[in-house]
Amino acid sequence: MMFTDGCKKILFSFVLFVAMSLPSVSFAYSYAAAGKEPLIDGREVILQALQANDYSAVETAVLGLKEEFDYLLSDHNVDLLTPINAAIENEDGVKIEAVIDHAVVEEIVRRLEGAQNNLEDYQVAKVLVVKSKLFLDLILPKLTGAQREQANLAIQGVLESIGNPGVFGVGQAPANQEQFKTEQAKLLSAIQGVRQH
Amino acid sequence: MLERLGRTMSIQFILLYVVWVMWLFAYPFQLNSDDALNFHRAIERFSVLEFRPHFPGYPTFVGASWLASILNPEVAAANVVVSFVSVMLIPILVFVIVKQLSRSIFSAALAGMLVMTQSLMGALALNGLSDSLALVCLLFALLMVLGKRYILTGVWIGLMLSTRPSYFPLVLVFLMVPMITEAKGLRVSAYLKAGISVALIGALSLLFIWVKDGAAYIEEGIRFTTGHFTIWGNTVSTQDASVIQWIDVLVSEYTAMSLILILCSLLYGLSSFYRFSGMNTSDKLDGRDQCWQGIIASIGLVYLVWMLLAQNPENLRHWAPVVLLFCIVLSLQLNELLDTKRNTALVASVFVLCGFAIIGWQSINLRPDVAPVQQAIRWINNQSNNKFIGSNYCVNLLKDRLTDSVVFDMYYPSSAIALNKKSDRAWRLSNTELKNNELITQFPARFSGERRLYLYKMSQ
Repeated sequence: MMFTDGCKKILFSFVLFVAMSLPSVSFAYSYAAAGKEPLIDGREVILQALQANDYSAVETAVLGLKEEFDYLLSDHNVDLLTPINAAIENEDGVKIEAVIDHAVVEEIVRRLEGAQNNLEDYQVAKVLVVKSKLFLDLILPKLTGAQREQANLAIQGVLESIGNPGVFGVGQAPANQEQFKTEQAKLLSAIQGVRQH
Repeated sequence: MLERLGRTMSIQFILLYVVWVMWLFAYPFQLNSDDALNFHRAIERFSVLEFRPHFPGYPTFVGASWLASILNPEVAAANVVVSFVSVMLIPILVFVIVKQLSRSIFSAALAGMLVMTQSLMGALALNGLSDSLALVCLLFALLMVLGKRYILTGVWIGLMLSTRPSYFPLVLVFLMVPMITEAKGLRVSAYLKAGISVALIGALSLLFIWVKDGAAYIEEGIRFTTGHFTIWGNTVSTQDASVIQWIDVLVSEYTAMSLILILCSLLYGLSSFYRFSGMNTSDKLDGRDQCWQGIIASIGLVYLVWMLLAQNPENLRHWAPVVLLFCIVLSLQLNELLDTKRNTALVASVFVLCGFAIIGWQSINLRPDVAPVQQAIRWINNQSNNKFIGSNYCVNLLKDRLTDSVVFDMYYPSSAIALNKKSDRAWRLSNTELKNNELITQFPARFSGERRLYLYKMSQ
């Protein structure tokens, strides 16, 4: 019943390889949660609180988004904190939802602007537009069929216009500034209606 | 006697294969999931950051799909063509491998037929995903390593990993092969040949991805891997999933008895190492073939551990490598029995084949022509206007195909709130049964590995 040396080696290798596969799995466990967005999470809390008519929960959630609102005011000159606070004061649920949707549109606008300013940096531009699509998906149900189609086509056009980085020039597709601007304008015109409250 | 049996069995294999191909070919080639849609979009523009396809990119599968779209520009879903052709190759490759290992046409035909009784093969053929092509690469790698063609073994292993990186545990046992089958002096050369080939294919794949996405690929990889293990992957690291879920799914698909048979067969396969070690030096040269049963069983068992720990039990397709390798191992074991206890072996072969044929038949639904999500799309498209649909399944495919409807992603709690406001004309599509909702209709699965969908009327 004795194993030969060969078999011992085989068993040892087997155990070693299984052991090698495990650390990579447990390593992955230790990473932080994947890519959360404060405005998306905050919007969810606000809409659920509105459903429950809990305006103090709405107020708390809006306070949690203060940094986002402050940024929109300081860097983009869009004041949404005043109207949303007024709407909370008046317990106007429809208005609160409209303002928070407006904030979602502003997130799209500022990310697209950021991408446009960084078109020479593939990674920055692409990540900004991909993130803006996350926000766009949230407000698509608020659009008409034609606007949805226009917005979907436009965001794909924006993504396409960013090009490819290539490796040492091989396979490189430079960003197309003109295409970016055209598709960006189409996208913004499709979602313009959600920007008003 | 055995020769005649082998001839009869091979004719049955060919007949069954023709019927099987014609049957599966009768189904339309359509996109049946968000992942399949992502692969389809990747043919046009590849970018892992855009989920075209999702991480890790599957470059060989996308390349094969691109090639299929060039060869047949008319086809609506080139990635489904690739998965279909791959599945068609699997029984043939299994036949060739078992024939080579057992020198028995009877066992080879038995293995090929066992593969075709697996209802899961239907889902793999039509899902447009990378599993089936990766399995083909695995079988080619086995075939090459059997012939000691290590450069080609490395090429096929590289292509398998580039098609489906989560199949890497299948490779671990391959690393043992030169230690068992090669004389000491030839082992280093075998490792070098295979290693260089794998590295070359790996480098080309990474280069392709890097050209398209650059260093951003790494960041996306970290984000995606984290999400897989903590949010959406439904693996043992996520809260509500466990190995028990896998066992539940497999028992309901295969019955406990079949599962025990599969496990016992793979574990018994390991004993071929022991039998090999008991041989004297001169017999070992001939006996090396016997070790293959142990090697193939080990590949299956190592992958099984990985699957239980790190793969989502909601996707039965992750089970495909285990059942495929079981078909090979069991046929080799029955072939061994054929030499000593012929009648027992024949009865066992018929019993196993009929058993899996019955299990396979029971999990096939011949009525629906299209996949559940395509049935749902057709049903919703046939309704009058004002359509609002909430779903936690195939959301992107629904958005893409239901352009007249408003599709809500039920991942967000606000979607349920918005849909409830339109409850008189809103539906909820779900892949699980929901309580407290009025069931409107169901969309049945066609094979194992597909999921039945339920359509509910939204209620307050």
